[in-house]
Amino acid sequence: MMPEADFVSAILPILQNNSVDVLEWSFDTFYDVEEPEWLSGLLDFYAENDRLLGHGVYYSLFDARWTSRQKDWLQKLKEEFRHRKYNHITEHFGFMNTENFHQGVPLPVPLHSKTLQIGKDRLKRLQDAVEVPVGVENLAFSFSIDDVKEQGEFLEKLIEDIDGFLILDLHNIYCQSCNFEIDMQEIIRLYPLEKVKEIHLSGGSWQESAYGNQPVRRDTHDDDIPDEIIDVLPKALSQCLNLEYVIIERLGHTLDTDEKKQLFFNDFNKVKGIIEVSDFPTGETKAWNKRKGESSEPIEDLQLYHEQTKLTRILFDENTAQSVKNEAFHYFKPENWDKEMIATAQQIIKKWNPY
Amino acid sequence: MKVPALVMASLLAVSVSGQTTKPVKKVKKTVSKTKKAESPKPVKTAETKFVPRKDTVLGTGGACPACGMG
Repeated sequence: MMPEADFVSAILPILQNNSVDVLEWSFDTFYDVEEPEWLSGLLDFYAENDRLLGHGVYYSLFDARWTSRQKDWLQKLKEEFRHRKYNHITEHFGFMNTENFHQGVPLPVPLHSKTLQIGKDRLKRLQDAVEVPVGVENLAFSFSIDDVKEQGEFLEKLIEDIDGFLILDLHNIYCQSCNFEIDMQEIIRLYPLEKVKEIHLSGGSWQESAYGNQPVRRDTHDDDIPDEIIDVLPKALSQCLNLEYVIIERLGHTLDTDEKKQLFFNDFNKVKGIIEVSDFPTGETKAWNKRKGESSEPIEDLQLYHEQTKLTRILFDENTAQSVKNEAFHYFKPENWDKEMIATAQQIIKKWNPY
Repeated sequence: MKVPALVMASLLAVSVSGQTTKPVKKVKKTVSKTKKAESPKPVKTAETKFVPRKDTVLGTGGACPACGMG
């Protein structure tokens, strides 16, 4: 769900014909701001009917320091969940640790015992704050093919202590598939598919290569769902046996013409049609049980924090991709990173300007 | 699932009016009731640069960075 009038206008026909079974809402994009009445009315209606999902953006699961920002975020989360019922809550893989928390971009972290420990700690605190299942979404951005290949394993380890679940974002996988020339199914199979409770679908855009190569695929949520994703969806539905929800994501302000609204409507119906002829939902719902555990002090790692800060800064500053690759880190391995993806990270960080 | 008529009516109103639904800060504007005194001639000072405060949400056209590739 997006709060823009264009988005409301685009989804009116499918709301009117009672086709929208579930809504997902990024509640933290409205922390500290007032919801318009029409939005509250719609979200409350879906919440009262057990059809509202919470999707966090700004918690930052892998920030190596535990600060008042995360504490405040959790406090506001508790307030939101007291006020409105969500079926579950999800966050994104990655870290954002710059001063302006709301302007950051999540960057991937390598699989390491320390990064895993920090991610598990943050996820546990998130689970302690709510009484609903907690999940994590795969990240679109990867610096290297190693990032792509290890994300499934990393996510599986990350959620195991809390009996968490995954969002499998197929457009994020499509980005990796295009940018690293790997078949989508090959990447999908690297994920623990029995842990997938939700699938995300969306469109994106192409960015010109900085090196005269193939364009880079970006997850900008501003276009129709590519055919490649529509083609892979039936198989993905059959592979994810505990799947409960399929969500289409689209930025509200990008539905600003009748033609775009019609194409969005067509996408919705296409996906609905695929779901209707599939075996999803299976009828059996897996229980995702909250794990009780003793509270402990937040885990922090100053070296990792300094590296996260340094990495964000050198990507923001106008360094060449080669000079980024030459930087020495303990946790990050920039020497193995793809220059094209370093240049892409620089562009994304410039766009969101976290400073 | 049928969305209640009242909720649909409010959505229709938003859609038709095309009203901007940008978030409104929960900060009340103070209203000055005193008459402004005539200000003395402006004195030139060094130009100030806007620095976003920690955790300010800048206008980004509603885009979302969360996927990491936005």
